[in-house]
Amino acid sequence: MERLREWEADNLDVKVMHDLSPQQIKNGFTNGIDGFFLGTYWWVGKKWAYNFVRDIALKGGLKKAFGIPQSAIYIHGSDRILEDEKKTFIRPYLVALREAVCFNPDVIQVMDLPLDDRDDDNRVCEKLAINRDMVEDYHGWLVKNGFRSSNCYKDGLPKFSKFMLLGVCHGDYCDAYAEEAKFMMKKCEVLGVPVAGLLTHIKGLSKKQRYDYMFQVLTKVLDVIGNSRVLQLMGFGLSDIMEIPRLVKLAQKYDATVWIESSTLVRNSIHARKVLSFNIKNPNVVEYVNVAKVKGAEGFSPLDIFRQNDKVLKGLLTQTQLLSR
Amino acid sequence: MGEEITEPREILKRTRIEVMPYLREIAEHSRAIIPRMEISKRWMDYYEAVSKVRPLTASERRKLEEHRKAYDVLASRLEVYRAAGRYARTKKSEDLVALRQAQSRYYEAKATTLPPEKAREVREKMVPLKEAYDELAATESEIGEKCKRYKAVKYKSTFETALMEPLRREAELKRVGARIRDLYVRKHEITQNLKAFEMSDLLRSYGEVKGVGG
Repeated sequence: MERLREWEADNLDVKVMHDLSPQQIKNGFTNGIDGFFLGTYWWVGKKWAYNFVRDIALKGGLKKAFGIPQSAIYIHGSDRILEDEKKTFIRPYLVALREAVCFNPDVIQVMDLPLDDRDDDNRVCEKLAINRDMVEDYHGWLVKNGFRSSNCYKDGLPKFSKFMLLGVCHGDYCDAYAEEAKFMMKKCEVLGVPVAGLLTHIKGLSKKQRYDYMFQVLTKVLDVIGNSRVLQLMGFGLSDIMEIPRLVKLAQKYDATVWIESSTLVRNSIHARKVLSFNIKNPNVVEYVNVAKVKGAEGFSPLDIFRQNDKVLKGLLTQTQLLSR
Repeated sequence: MGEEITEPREILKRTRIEVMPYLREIAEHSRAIIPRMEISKRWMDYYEAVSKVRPLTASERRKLEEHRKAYDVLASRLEVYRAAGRYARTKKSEDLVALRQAQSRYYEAKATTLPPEKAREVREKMVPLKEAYDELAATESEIGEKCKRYKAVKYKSTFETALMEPLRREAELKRVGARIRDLYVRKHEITQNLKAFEMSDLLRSYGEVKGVGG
């Protein structure tokens, strides 16, 4: 029974990628997790940036430098435009790629231009074309430097690659996402769908309608990629835990592997010091509760809370998956 | 249970006998991996057994290390073949991820066969230029200082700015604002003028491990 549970845990269709900082990685937050995401905004523009990047490169990558288990999937983020326009920072993407290679990650996120509400059709097409060009250039650079082979499978993926590429599929309607996914899947092993904007920026829709639209988009994308590529929900921070069963069911329908982010879990563990708990009065509801209110969790450090929450979340995912079979 | 052999010469003799069938297999199938792994394993066992009898010489230690590295490379290559076969059969995303991770481990194992100095040199060449990082950090910190000054003047949050005359305040705001604008322009220029890097050097260095990418 124990082995069956372990097998189920290893073969989960939905995996959780935590958005961690270098400080948290240093403090051992990476033990026992499925994977983590590290953005470049933690060091770019800081005085210690060069020394940091150089040290990591000389030690053979981030995983070796911090003693991170090989099983944890490391996604290296790209430079991105922050919401405040004054903080815009984007390097030439090949420089960012070169830096990413120094960190020796499992997955490299391809730099992308996000769409804006004010963009007209021409601007949207232009941005999508730039995104496609960047994917081609990333692939070309990796091939040129011997990190990928020029020998390809029939579906376009190279036969050898040291790194996986994460291509972000933007769009202004469902079919546009699917079309982008169709292009990206030729070069990228992991396809990202930026769902954060779908859940927060749409005005005049209820929460249920927003999630419905998001699942509509995901269904279209999964119709195209099926089980052949990993799907990452970018910005699906698990702010609504009760939406997990829908996601698990969708993943199971296509037998797809889905990676989700968990920024809410990290935020609640480290800053708010809350643990995921069942409500005794209403056992169907799972919510974050302050450690002071949970018996036995009073003395938990942020790391303990994080590990506890991660385990509970994985348990929830496994249970949901088993029950929905 | 036979008597335990403790004589180095005897251990060597036994190891040579054990290795022979695998050598014959390699003579037949030159690309075979498992016999090569067995040979490396036997020699690793030999050096470990000898080290219990007497300290290893420098050349023996070097050979042991070489066998260890060769074993790692072969094991990771075998893992790549198995993962590739599984992916070819299923074409599933989880098998694709497993294949890529196996290939990454193979690349790493292959890279460890480089001498440490050479490996360090190759890695160091990969790091983007220091000037770009430094110049950017200096501009960022100056932007931070100027923004603080701008806020202090605008919201009269310090003693000195609270006593400022309106006309002087206006002039100061304009001056600091213009400087902040210039700094943002400069920051943009720095980021856009970053040279990707000299490819020729890198290509030459990576030529040694490029066989991996085949």
